[in-house]
Amino acid sequence: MNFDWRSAGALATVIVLFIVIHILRKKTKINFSLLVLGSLLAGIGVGILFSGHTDWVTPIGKIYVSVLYALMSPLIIISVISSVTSLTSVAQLKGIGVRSVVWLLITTLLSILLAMGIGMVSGVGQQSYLSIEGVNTGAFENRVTPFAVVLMGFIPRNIVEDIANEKVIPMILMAVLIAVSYVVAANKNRKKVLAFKSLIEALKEVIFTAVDFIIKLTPYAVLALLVTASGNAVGRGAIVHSLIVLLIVSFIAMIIDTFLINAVLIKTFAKLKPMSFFKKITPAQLVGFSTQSSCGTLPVTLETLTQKIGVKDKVANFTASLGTTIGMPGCAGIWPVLVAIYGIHGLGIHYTPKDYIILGITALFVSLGTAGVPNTAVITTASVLTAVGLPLELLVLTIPISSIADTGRTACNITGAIVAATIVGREEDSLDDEIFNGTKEYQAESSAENNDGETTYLSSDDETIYLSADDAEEEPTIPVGRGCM
Amino acid sequence: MKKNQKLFKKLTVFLASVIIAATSISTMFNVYAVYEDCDLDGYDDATGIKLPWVGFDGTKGDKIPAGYFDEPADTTTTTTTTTTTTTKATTTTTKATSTTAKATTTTVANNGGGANVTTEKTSVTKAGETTKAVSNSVTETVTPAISENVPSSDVLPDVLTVDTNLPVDEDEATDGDFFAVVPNPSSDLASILENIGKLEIKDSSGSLIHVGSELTITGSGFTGNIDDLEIEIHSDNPILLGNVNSNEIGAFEIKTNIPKNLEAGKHDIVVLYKGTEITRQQIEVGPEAADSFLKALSVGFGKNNKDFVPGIIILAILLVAGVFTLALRSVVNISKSKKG
Repeated sequence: MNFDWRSAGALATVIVLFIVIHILRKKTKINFSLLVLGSLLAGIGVGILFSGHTDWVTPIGKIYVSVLYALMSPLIIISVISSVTSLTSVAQLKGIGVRSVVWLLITTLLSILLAMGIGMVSGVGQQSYLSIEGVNTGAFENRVTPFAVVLMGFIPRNIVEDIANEKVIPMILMAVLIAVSYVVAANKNRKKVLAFKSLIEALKEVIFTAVDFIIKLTPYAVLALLVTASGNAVGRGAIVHSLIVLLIVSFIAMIIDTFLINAVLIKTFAKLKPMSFFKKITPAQLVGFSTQSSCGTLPVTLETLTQKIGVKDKVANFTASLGTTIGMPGCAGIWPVLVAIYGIHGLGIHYTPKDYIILGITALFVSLGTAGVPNTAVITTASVLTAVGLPLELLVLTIPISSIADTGRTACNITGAIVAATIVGREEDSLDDEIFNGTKEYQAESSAENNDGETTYLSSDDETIYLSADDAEEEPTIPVGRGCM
Repeated sequence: MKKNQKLFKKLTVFLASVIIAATSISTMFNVYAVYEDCDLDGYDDATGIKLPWVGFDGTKGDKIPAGYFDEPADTTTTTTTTTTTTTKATTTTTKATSTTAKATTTTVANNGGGANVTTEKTSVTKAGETTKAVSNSVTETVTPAISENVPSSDVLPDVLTVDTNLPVDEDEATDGDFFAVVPNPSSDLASILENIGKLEIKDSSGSLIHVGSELTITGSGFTGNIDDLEIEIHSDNPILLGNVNSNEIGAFEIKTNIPKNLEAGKHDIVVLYKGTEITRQQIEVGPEAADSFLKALSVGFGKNNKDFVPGIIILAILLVAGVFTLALRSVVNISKSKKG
């Protein structure tokens, strides 16, 4: 039996590089983004060196994707319930809660439509002739599903079956139903359902921690995935070039969404000058772009909103925080839709207008349910691909360039959250034009009166606002959502 | 407890008897649900029963001809068959030319567990000679005595050649020996064209078929041992893709490239023999792969992008909605300022 020495060499090289990554992480405290970028470049080099002999390395990347994918269902359910139930923290602020959700979803919907239009016009993925191992492209031909059947498929029927079969939309709808039921029950007797809220937050913390563990493995996974991808791509120029085009198209979409679409929203609904607005939020965008972390950027985001734009604390705190858990035009709008269109074109799947509508609706639903997680884009893309019946292998193919696109995605998410918070501030009469125009200095609020003259209280973490001091003491702390990395 | 044990034993014996009896009866009367010859050896994969033709598939509607499994009136034919294997030197030589075509007939009629009949790949041309095939895949002709009960040849398959490694001597031969059989590749074009065969055409890398890509064409069910089958792609003009030989069981595989100057669209892959079409299958050929960065970047603006217009419509709707929103806001602001 001939032993494949080159494959063994590839695996050995990857293991050595794993050790190097580990040492760099532990000893030098190197920036995470730099580490991922370095892994990406190393993976390309190793893949080219051992092209055609990377089969022994392939399972490593697939294990990473599988484990992330395994967390998708519990993450969706807990995130939706946590996000929606947080709206009941302040009864008076339900108006802000609903407005925030609506505007965050509007920004995401606009980004979905934009991604769809740009993806279709640019033909991203066409003539790349993707060949995905184990995927029979013939299975997608002549696939016709009546719209009524599709619609019925959105409705939850058996939650256990829906979770087992990874039906994303029914899971989200069921989670929303449970969350809304909690809201109604909490309004009647908050103390009776307090344990449920505590459980949800505890589960959220546990799952987030689990995802954190997995995310820390990203450099290793990117290395393995790049070795496989570039090893197989040697001689497959069409796929490599199409992936680069996908990256470029995604950045074009993010730029248009960030500066053009948001400009119209700011001008029309926030009644602010777009140029001045974007000048003021540039620091937050740059921090998000460089750190690729909405969580890490949140303090800068809040500071920008309150001190430069003039949005009052209560709106800024609530909407910007919610914007890291719901919406996210970059991670949940543009990227999943473009990857889906890339796969549709590359695999030669015939998509009708009805199918595209379903894709858009699915992406919008998913933006509601898979927020607040590091590496959101991988989860949301997996959710969208699964929901519309596209092969998950597309995700594996695009993970290497996803790490680069994460820079623009995060900036896009932050901008969307800031825009939504500004518009809500204007609609709630919580936007100080004098601060925006620079004629007045910002003054921090410790306890403030809301529009009805009621005194509000901050909780111990200064992140949650309550109507009574007792509530502020009793209610468990709602952690700030973590954005995508 | 003892009663239960006795009962259990009786029940076990009864069930075992039923199973044995059912198996025997079904074997005897060939009451298997369906016959299939997936391995293209001319015999049912499950029972080893010789089937009317190679590639018989009962799951796809093939039917056993009436009287196919009927025992011949003269049971000595079976014996003759066996005997013939040892005395082929004499029997074959005298009857080779006249009985070759019918040899299978007799064999099939006798078959209850496999045929031990072989026939020569090449025609016997001289009486009195026991011809031995030159090719490695063929052995001597063994011709049993002709039975009057032989069904007409037009419903019976051709005899196929025999594996040289299988025993042909009576002492070596055992009941149930099976031989791979292929149709006699006679120079009769009509008989070759009778076996239309099936084609499986796919891109070698597993993606969509496109201009310049490598195709893997797999054929099955054709006449066996045919040299120089021509594989062409037909659009406006036929283009020869390559030549291939079919093996003993009428199967072949060829890897060939779609010509780079071919236009994208529907084309036919045609299998011919000496210029005469045997079968064809339509394929959809996509445009050439965008294997350069500029091509990948501009692929959406080509004529093959069916999503271009719908994409423009979506972007236009967004643009119009944005302009309309701005205009509406301006009008509202103007009217407010007038009132103020």
